[in-house]
Amino acid sequence: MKFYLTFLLVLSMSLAFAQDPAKQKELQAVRTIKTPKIDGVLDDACWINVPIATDFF
Amino acid sequence: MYPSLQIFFEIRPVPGRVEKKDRRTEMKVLYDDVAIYVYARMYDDKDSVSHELVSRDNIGNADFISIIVDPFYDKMNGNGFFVTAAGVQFDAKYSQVGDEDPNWNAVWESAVKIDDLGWTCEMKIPYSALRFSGKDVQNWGLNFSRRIQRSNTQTFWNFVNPTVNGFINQEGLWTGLTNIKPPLRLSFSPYLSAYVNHYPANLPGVKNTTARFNGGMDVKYGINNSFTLDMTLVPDFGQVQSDNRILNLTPFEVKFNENRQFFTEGTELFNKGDLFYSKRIGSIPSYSNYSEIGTTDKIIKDQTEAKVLNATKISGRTAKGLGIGIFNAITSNMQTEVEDANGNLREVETQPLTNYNILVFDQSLKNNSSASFVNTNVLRQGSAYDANVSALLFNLNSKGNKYFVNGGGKMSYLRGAETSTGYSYILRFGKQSGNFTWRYNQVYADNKFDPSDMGFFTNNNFLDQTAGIGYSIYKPGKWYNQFESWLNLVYSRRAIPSAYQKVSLNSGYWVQFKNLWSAEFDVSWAANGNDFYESRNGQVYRAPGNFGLALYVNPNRAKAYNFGGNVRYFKQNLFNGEEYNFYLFQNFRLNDQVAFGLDLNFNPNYNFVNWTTMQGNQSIFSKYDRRTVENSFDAKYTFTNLMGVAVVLRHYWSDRRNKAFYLLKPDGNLADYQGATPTGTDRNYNVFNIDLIYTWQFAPGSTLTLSYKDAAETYQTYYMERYNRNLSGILSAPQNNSLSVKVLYFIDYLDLKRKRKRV
Repeated sequence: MKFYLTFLLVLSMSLAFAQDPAKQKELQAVRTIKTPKIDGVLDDACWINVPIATDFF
Repeated sequence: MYPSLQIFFEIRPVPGRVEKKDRRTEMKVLYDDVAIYVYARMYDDKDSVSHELVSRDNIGNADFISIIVDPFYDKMNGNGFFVTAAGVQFDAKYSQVGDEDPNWNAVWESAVKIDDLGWTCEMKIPYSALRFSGKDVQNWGLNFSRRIQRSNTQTFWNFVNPTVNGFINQEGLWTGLTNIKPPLRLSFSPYLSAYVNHYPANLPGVKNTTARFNGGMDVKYGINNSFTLDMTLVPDFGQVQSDNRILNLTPFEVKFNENRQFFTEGTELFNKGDLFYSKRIGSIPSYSNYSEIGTTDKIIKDQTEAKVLNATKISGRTAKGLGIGIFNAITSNMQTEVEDANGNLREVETQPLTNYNILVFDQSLKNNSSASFVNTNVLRQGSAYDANVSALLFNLNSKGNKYFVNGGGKMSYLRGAETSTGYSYILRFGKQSGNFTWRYNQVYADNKFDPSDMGFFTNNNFLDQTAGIGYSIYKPGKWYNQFESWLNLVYSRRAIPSAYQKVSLNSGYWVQFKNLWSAEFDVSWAANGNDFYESRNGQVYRAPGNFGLALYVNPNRAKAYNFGGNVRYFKQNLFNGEEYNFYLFQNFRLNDQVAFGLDLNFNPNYNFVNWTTMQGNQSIFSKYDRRTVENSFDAKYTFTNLMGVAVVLRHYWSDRRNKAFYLLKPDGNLADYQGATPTGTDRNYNVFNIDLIYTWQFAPGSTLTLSYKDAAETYQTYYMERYNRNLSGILSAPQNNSLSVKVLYFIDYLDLKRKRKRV
């Protein structure tokens, strides 16, 4: 029981650390030479390897 | 009607909960020399995505994705670019804490697609839509926000804590933009419009049908990285939505919404200190002079509005946080056509050529704080008086936006045949973040303070104090998502000479339930007071105390059919005066393109007491019954995200039926009136409006609009029974019909230059 409690505590702490809402998020700006076609379809080559912003709160 | 988007510092329904994997959002951003590009992938069940089509700058019943940037990273000022799952664009400018200005418009590109994984969006936001510095390496404030309409969920990339005041200050960071240069921002939007107007005046020398053409131009010019000049030359506001006029029995003027875009877009600096009521420019001027029209003259044609000849706004903020705003507008002199006793026609100038000016300096300080100076100035040609009003303001917030103190001093100076200088001050402080908040306000105005020439004004000569507490819960509980409550105590005194005016209490409770319905319950109480305005002659009136209850219900607007409304009860402690109000609204969305709304409002008063007329110098009050019925219907058919038609019909009927008359005694109490019964003191007012508008955005920033308007207004000093008679009466009254077409074409100077190069 004691083990479980500690485990749960560690787990919840690590979750809280990974997605701490209070921490300011950063995204690296990427310059592009090719521009996407604004058609709503995300198949343009220029989008490959651009860092993703996700995990909305 | 659609709810506004001012929901930003509420993340709903569970603040701080990370989005589920199958509903996750993925964003990418790129930039080059001309624009930033946004990639958005919204995972969802594709059949559950809401995508109602509405006109631009509305959201409707739709999911959206947005990018919010703060290019100077000052944590106060930003621009938001929203696209709904129906492809409708919405853009807004953010300035001070929590303030959203959806009237800000830019020209940018976007497209959406609904696919098997949910929906996607791409945007191209050209630098001409943004203001930023010329620094080699820049960090911009950045946030993204997504809404899932059906579950009323709004999420952010960088967490926006609803218990912390402010939205832009809770942004993330976009780092390392290099070598971007702000472009020349210069655009022209010339327009042409044509009107046909019909009003059955049926007077000799006055045409029933008239036609006119207008032409003019809007110019937008980026003076430098931070400052923009907006100019409208010979503007045409003829297609703007009609005001919802009412029968006003109070001694104070009614404040109407500004519907003219030039005066609502990017005006946050000019609204500092509450000295600017833009309807003063042309729509509701504060000054007119009818002294040259005698009692034997008959007015043939009058002008209550003034023509706006041009208007200019220069505004922006330096990298060091100094905001500067300059506003100027000129309205034409206006003539009233008069016929004298011998039948001779002449024109009398009833409004002079008028110049309106505003100057604002606003320095941003740490923690969303600011210090500002505002000056408004009205210059009238000829002998009419001029007005000058200044304010020094401050707004200080503690670290983390927990506590605030703000306020300032104001001075008005009127210069005519006589001069008059008045003063006012405001002091407010309190705690604004957290579950428990409190505040204290003190507002003072002496008996000469008068900002009415450019501002909205009811009365001066008061010292009002308000103490309030609030308690809110943002974390969902068992049966609710959110809860707010407040209690305010107001104590008002006349300033000069000092005298008690009023003590009142009001309290409210608002709750959003799990099913996304919300309800608010308000209760108010006021002690007997001294009213120095109701009598119209400066005499005190011992105003009876009152008590009120109100219940407001708001539905989950995501449902195709939804309804809500309110029930109010108000009691006046004299002659058992009672007021009831029943208001019901219904919205029905037939499909993603067609929607209807129906609003019914019934508001009877029984045995109310108020001023009714003057007999010589004596102020006569009456006990009366009053009934107000207001019905409106609106419908819209949006063909595409660039084209749609919308119509609003409104009928308003309000009356006053006097039952007994009283004389206001010098001690402020009422005595039975012994004289002959005053005549012509009943009221019966009807107004009917149709506003139909078709809009087609045929090119970026360019629109074709067709408008049909019908307006009729009748005002009688006797009572007419029954709703149907009043409705048919107003429909058979002379109608002012107008049909118009307007074409506005947006030309970006850079595009023009590029095209020329190609040729």
